[in-house]
Amino acid sequence: MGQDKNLGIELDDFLEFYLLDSQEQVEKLGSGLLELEKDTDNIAIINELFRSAHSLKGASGTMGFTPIVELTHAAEDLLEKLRQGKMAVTNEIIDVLLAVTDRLKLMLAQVEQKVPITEEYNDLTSQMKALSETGALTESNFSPARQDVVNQAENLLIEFPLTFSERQILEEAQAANKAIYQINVTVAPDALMKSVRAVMVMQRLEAYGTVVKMFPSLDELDNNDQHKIHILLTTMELPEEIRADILEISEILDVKVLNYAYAVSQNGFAVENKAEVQAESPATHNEPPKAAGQGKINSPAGLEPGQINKNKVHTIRVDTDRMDNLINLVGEMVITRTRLVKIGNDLKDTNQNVSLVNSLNDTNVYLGRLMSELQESVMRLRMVPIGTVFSRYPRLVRDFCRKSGKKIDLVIKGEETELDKTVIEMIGDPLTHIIRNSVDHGIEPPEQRLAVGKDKTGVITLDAYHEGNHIAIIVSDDGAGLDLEKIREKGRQNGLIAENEELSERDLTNLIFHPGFSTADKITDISGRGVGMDVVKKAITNLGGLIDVQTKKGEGTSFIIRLPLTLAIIQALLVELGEEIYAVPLSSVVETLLVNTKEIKTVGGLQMVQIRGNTLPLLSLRQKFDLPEREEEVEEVYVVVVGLGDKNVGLIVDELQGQQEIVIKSLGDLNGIPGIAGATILGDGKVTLILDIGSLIQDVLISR
Amino acid sequence: MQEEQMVTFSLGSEEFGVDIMKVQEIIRIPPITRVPKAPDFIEGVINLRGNVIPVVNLRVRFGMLPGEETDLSRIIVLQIDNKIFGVRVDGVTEVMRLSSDSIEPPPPIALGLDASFIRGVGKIGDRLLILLELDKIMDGELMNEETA
Repeated sequence: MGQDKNLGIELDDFLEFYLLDSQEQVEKLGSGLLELEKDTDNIAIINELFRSAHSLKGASGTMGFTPIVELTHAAEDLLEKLRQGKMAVTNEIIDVLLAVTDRLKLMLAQVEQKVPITEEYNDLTSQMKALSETGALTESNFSPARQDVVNQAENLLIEFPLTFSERQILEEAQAANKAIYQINVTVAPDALMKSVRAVMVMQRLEAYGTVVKMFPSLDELDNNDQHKIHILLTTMELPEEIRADILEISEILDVKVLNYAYAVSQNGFAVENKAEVQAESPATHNEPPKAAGQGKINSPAGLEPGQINKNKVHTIRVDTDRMDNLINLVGEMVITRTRLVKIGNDLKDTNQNVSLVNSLNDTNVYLGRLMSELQESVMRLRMVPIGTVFSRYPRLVRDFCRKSGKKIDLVIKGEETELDKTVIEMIGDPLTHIIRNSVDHGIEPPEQRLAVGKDKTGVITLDAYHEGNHIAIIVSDDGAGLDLEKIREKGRQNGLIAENEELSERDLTNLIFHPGFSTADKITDISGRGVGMDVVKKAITNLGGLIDVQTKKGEGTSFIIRLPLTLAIIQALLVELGEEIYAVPLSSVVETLLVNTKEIKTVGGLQMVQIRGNTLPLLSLRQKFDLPEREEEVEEVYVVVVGLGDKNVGLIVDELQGQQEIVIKSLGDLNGIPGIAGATILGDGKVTLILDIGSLIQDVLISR
Repeated sequence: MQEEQMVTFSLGSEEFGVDIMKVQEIIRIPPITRVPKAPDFIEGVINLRGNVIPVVNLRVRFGMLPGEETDLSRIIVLQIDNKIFGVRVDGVTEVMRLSSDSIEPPPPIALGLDASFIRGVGKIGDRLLILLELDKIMDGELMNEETA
């Protein structure tokens, strides 16, 4: 590893940033390659890939990680060939580039562990070299799509009225092998002082090269309500860097950097064939994305909207510890405010100086409003779109397809759905497992699909959406469905089903979540090691979620995961049991009822009540929590109906105390006590326990 | 000569000592919230400046009869291996120095309480001080839970 000893200490500070950034670039490369495989003519994706490889190379060079530099350099060369249209995208190219991303991940992992990079890479670089030498195409092999892009570009180029001295500058630049770009800048139409923006643009551009000409002039800009500026620049720098830099200026909507082909012979203006158009920014991107195959031609660069957004989001990285600390402090403030409110109310009862007390209480109300806004904003800091998890699956599915010969489309929806960071971190592995299962056992081989009249390409859908206070994540396939007969047989063998016991379809399917339960006949590389769905279930239960499976023979299987939105601050219903107060997460509360004790029947040791024609199992919290029964006879009891998914249970409590926002605190060493999810601190400073609805429901349903 | 600094406290008629380096603070008994289904020696949880920490009732832990709460009752907040928890005692007596010489290994039949919590016995004049090793005081809880 070529890291300079003297710089070592200083570079160490940057290592973390380097790793974060590089890992992101590698991810981008991976997902971009998969897109490119489907859409091989899309020059915008190639540009994007080239940019990622380039910045990876640059950053690694600074840090002195030579193997990464050499590997990315070779990849960059190959991408450059694609970019210039000298080669067509082939499966081999995608394969080798994907292999590069894998190797880069391994190398970065070594960097992270602070060990020298020992991963081999010569095999890949020589493969890439061979590809870029043999795969070269002639200019005439340009794909039609690329031609269209060029035509589009033609319309955007304008003829600059050039003076003699300006022509001279251009000719000199050409002689010096500098690029000449026409830069089209769109200023927001409602921006005041457009000339100021123009000057800022010019100042930035001066850093890159020589600004030869600007059209229209500054005066015309302010007077004529123009908002498009055309600038002629000679430079050695990359167009994308220039573009990105200018886009940073506020009120600049769009920047296009075009190759301006200057030729002396043709009256000073011509368009070269390789004119290149950079991506449009979302502000001007008002065309809806069209079906693949034609949409990409129309929007000049054909970037998917999501991809553009990713580039435009302005973010800073913050240590999660600092963020959590902030969230804790806000939580403390919320508690402190409830104390203030209490003091205010007490004062009102005793104090004579009414106006002063009233203004205190008014201020409290206002403070409360601010606090809830602050709290919401802070909580949003922890929310991460689930797309960050989903993005790793296209690769998984693709690799499997290439290995097994199955044909599978992975459809991803709802990737913008946001979830708490902790949940995001924990959900990846269970999801991977479920998807592997669908890929391996769910989707049938193409011949078998054709035989039963299905399309030979199977579809796995990954979807996420809000459902009340929960997030639902659904993995469904259109495969063969679970083999209920096999499950029944297996269940009998394992003693999970008694000899003469008949289970409902639903109970049968849920057997797959039992430890060590696998119906796979043979163990494959992908899944079926017999450890599996029970681990998945455990992971999801730990997150306070539920998992359910629905299957139809011949039509497919769906796994439905329900997760709480956030883990830190929740709305809760406070209930009383004698002296004790417990908090029920409001997200799980379906309704509260007053039930006549005469209507409560005991069936098989379990209390039940008929509500609107449905039987609702009941659980006495006093009993559950080892409290003595109430001394006084009551005619009616409060029942809090809680549910997760479609499973409902009624909790019998003494009193309802009302709802309140609570901050979830860990019980530390006491975590994992059945029925208790955590603790919170109420306004009076007392600790109150939060009920774990998932485990309470499971208790009742199991004892049935 | 090697010296150790101890916080000493009483439970019934016995006197105990813990290493002062493990004591974070000593507080009066705040309202304690019972945790159902927790091991019986866990008296509950308390709010320590915004953090929820468990409290171990040492009398129960050591198999003694439960005692009344008095003005002298205290919770000693300990920090061991980054875990913070409280132990409830009948009273905190003093902070004292003890030379290593006067510490003897625990007797084989330990005074009716689990020997794994005893580090040794200290002698100060005619007083007998049971030196506690509380690192494992919370551990039993997980075992209890699993065997329950």
